[in-house]
Amino acid sequence: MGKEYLGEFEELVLTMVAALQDDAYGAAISDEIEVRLKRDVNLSAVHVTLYRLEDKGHIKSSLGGGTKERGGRRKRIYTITSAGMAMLRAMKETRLELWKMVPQLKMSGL
Amino acid sequence: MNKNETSHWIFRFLSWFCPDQLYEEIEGDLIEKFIRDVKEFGEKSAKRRLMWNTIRFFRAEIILRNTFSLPLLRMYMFSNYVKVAFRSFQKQSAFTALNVIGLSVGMAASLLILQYVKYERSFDTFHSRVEDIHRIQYNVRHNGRINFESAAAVPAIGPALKENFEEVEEFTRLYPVGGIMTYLSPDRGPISFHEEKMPFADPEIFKVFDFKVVSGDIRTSLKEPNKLMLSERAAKKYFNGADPMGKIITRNGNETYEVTGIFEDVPENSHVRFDFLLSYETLKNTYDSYQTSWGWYDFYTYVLLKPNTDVESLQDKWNEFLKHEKGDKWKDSNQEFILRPLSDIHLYSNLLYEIHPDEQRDGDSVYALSIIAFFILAIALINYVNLATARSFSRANEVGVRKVIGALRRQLVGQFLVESIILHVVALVLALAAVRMFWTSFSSLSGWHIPLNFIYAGEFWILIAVFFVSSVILSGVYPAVILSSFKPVAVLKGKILRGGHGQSMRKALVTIQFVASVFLIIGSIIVYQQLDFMKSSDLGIDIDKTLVVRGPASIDSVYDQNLESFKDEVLRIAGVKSITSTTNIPGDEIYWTGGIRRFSRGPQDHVMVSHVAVDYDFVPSFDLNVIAGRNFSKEFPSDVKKVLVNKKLTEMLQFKDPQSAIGEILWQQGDTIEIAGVLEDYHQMSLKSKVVPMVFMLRRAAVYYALKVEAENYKTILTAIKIPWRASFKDAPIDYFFLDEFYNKQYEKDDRFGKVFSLFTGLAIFIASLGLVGLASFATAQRTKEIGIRKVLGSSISGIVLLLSGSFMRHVLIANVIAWPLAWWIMQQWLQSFTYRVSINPMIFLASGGIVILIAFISVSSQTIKAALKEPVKTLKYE
Repeated sequence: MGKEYLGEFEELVLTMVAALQDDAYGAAISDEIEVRLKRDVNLSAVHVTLYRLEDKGHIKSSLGGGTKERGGRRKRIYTITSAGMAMLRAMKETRLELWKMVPQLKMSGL
Repeated sequence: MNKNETSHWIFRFLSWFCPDQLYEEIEGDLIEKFIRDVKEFGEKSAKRRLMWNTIRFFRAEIILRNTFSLPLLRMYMFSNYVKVAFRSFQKQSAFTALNVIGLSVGMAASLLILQYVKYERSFDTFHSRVEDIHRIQYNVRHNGRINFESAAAVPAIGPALKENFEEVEEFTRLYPVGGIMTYLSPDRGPISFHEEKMPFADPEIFKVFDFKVVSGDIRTSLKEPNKLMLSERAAKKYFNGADPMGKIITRNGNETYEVTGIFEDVPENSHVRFDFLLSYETLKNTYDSYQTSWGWYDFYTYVLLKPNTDVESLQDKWNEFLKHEKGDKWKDSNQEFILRPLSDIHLYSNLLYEIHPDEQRDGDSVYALSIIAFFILAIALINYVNLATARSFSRANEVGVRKVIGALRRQLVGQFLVESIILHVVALVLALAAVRMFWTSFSSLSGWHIPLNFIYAGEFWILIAVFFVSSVILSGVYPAVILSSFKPVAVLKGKILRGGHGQSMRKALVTIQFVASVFLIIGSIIVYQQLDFMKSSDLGIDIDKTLVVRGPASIDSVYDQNLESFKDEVLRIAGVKSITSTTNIPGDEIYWTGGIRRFSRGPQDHVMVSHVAVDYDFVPSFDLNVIAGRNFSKEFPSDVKKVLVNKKLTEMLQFKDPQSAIGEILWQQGDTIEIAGVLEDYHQMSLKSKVVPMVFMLRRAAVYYALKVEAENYKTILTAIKIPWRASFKDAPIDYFFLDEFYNKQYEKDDRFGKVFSLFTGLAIFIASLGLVGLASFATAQRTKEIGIRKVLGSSISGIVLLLSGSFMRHVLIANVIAWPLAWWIMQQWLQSFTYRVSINPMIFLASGGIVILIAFISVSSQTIKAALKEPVKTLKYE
């Protein structure tokens, strides 16, 4: 497969899974994105992305415990796999490489 | 979770489409989100959000997720199905070919017809406000009974309606005339052509209709007298690329028009077509009553109503209005002006003076064709079902083995549907190719000049898709179900082979196919007989070997002299037997009509008659039969005040016999005329219409010159005529045709209907026979062993053939019995539309039955004889 590619939203969700650690499940991720990025996301979009990332092997999942505030329904907790972590890292590095190529504005006079 | 209860149904919906393994977490997340939303937005808004969020889960990635472990297996099985399908096609290539050919012929035929029906229904629909446009029909009643119904109305009605009814947004009148149009080109000399049906039109024509103007102004171009607009086609014809705007065109050498506009060619699917529009105001020069006449019915009047007008109540209102306004004048002849929707004109209007009577279609026969399309498609699909189920026996072992290995019934149905779809795709591609390939030859046969881009419009592909899906379902599901229903134990023991699985169904379907075939054969024979009857009936007038030259149309002061010398010169040409000038030749609709009555009777007994202006030679030239009195004669100078009438008129005027009408005085538009002679009725128009009362007057006519010629040397006659023509009529274009061809043009439409009908009949029978061949060969293949044993035991070949063919032939016979009354009834209905018609001969039924039985027998015996001839040694070794 070689050059695996992640979409912008996929990358975002994957990062969230890595960041939220044990508390990474659908509703929490979508909430977190809304709060931190002020960005309206749809729950179903998050779920679909999670499944896709799981299919690609970047995350794995297991059923966690249910809480009262979700009517006793269990959560599916996602954890990032080492492949997913490597992917994130690789993407970050390429981004940095590219960023270095951009002529930086000199903030002189400050 | 009480809040949860209220939105219970939404979770039921979720659980309906959501894969089980995902359901719990999704529901949990939704609830969690809901509770958070309640805090943030309030309960009402949160509920709405919950619904929306849930509905958003209805997407392919979620719905199809439960199948994620299956695709591999499925893909594999699918490719296996395709492989097996092609193997079985190959193994039974002959039957596969029969199947595909039958199906694609059926599809192609029905596609063609459906396109035609669609085209005919598309007439006039290109006007954006087609629903609001109505044509005014003009009816005259006498003593309550309808005297005539005309498509053309009077000039005064349009303005009267617009002034008095706010519902009428706009109106336009068209008064079509013919004539010779001439453009004096500075470099190419005079360019002139005979043109027909050029309407004098109100400028509002462009408001009522959507005809597009290329140059000129839609409001002003036709406003003033002596202006004209022409189509792009006509612009090319007369100006050959030069700019026509502002140029002068003359009509009949004495009216001049300035070209003030060009419009796009009128679409083919318009009920009114023209290349010239003359400004309505021009009529002012010639006629005083061009705006005010209530009796001159030559004006096709179209009104544009305000959107959503209640047509019925408007009609009632204006009936009242007209009664009030005109009541006194119309005491003894009621006149009605009726709104007729524009979209009905092409298919459902059958009035006097339709603007292009030959282009009118009969809505019923158009629909009759779609029934035929349905029949053909049904026959083709039945074939498919029959052949597929028959074939199933050879697949029984495969089904058995698959089932033993563990195939589910659902999978087997899927497998056979895949085969069905493959065959249908092939058939559809062939059908599309056939439609494309035969389009031109088909349109010349049928006279359906449907532009190809019309066919490939977007809806066409929708139609194809519907077609495809429904035919796969109709013909694919039943065989698939039959095949998959085999019991593996029975099949593998070989029991199924002689069973009657689906046999009665198949035979019933065969019967239906042949009912349709017999019906179509009977139908096409009767259509042909009726056409032949109309064409070969004695018209009462001799139209053979008659060359008709169109007159110069304009009559000037020296016309009489010129005509006389032209006639004399023409008669000197070898091969010309006679020449007569007239305003109407047979087959040419007479527009010159009026009321007439006996002088001694009251106005209530008046009759509408058609007038023809003739000369002394009309009666002998056309070999008309004078049954009482005498023809016009130069020996009686007073004949200019006398008339000839046809027998029909003497009957309508209630003379006791033609003889007693001689010398009687008639009253016509304020004038008295005397009957000099009575002519035997002849068919002025085709046998589709009744003989109308006619009056012949001795007047000069400049419309047609009819020459009786010897057919052998008409070419030399044509060249010889040109010299006296130049001498008498100078630059007028010479235009001629043969009368019999002209007359028979009236049957062109019916002729083509007949041809199309028999073409599709042929196709239907072809497909049905294909099916029969297939079935017969399977039936005999199954009985191979039995045939061998019978032969060994001493049965004769003919005995075996009869035995094998018998069961099929029985169904063909039953089909005949069903089809006969059906065909009789439907064709009787069809014949009702003809005034003069053949009676249905019972022999037709026997003959059609015979033909079908013969074809069926040939198809069946082609297979059974082969089987019967096989050596028993070989057949008994079989299996």
